[in-house]
Amino acid sequence: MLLEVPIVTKREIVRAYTSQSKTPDSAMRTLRSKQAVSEGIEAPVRAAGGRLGGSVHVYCAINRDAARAVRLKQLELAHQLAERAGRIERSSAMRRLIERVSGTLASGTYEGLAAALSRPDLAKDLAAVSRQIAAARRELQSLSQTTVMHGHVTKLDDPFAFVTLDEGKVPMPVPAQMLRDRGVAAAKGTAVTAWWEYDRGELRLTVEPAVEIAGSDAKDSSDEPAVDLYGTPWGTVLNDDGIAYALARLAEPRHTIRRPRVPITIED
Amino acid sequence: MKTLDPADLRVRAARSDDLTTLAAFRCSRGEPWEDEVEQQIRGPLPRRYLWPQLPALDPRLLLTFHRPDERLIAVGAHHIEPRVVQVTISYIEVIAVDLAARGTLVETEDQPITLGHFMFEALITDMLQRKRHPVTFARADRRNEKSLKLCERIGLDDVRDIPDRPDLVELWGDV
Repeated sequence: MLLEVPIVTKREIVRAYTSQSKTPDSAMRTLRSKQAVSEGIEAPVRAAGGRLGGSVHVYCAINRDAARAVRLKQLELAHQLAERAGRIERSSAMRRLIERVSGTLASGTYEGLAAALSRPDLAKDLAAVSRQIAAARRELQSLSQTTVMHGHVTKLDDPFAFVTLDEGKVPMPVPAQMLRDRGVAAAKGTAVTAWWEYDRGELRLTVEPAVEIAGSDAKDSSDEPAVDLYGTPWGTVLNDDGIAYALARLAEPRHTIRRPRVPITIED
Repeated sequence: MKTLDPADLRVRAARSDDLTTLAAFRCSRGEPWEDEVEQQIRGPLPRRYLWPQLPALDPRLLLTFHRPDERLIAVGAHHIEPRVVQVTISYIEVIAVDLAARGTLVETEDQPITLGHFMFEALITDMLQRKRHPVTFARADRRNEKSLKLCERIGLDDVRDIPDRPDLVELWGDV
């Protein structure tokens, strides 16, 4: 299964905010002045042998949603998102994740970070952070104008890389240089996340590295394969026909289910 | 047949200290599809929902208790179908009613509804509160007439064959 990288640097945040030639520091100052970015985390970098090798400043990926909201002039949403990002950054799961991959952040590429986060020993913390990010987005509906898909680079034929998303049949051409700019080596097999955003009449596409974890090999807490009631690997319920049906159904709602006739309180 | 006041029912998300209760849950009278559900609820299903390795699914395991005696009488579970990435449509993995509570009805403003129907309405309430898309679906064993009838009654009325699973059908609906 593919997941978005939950940690970003100011470079990714600034990209979501503006494509103009502002310097990253100037753009970050603007976002701070609008309370649209969290404090982030200063993580000490440990070099080989455990010695300290400086530090790196990183942020929760929700800050990118906040930066996008500022670009779309949704300042209240941006502020709420930055607050949620700060909360996630203060969580113990996020702090552990950053501590474990800080060496990769300082010296490697964004793609290297995605690979580092795929380590099985980080799965629990990665799951916790991804869950918090998903909950924030769901509650604040920050991706209502954005489509997010995951996939792999399946072919490289400069100047294009071909990306196959969500097990679709037709590879999509993407400028190979765009992938390199985003820290993706554009090598065959690289896991990526693609973001399509509709912004004032234009469609913006961003492709970035993704974290790949074993979806069909997912285990439950007793270390048994996580398969559902019918033996289907958890998280892969629909086949391609089912997805095509779902998309058609989304386009033409029929309202066949009545809203609940008994008010039910769900206690958590 | 017993009819309950909805005020006598408490619905909450499952917790790790429910495992013992769930391990004793009985919902099967011996049909193969009922045995499978019972076996799942007694172990693998709570393990997946309480400690998920795939958080993007937002798994939710809900339990309905009879308040007067705190007895677990129904179980339901749903999660996001992750392969439809544009929106968060929900997959209803299971709805099961305690064997001893079968046939129990719940009062509503109009017609009384079955406990299975009540559990379904609890799942729908939960999905809507979590701002999921109104489209949802379930799967059922083709021979399980009772579940197929319940699905039709509650509005999961579009029945689809699954090419690689002739034993199952998909049932779709939207709020």
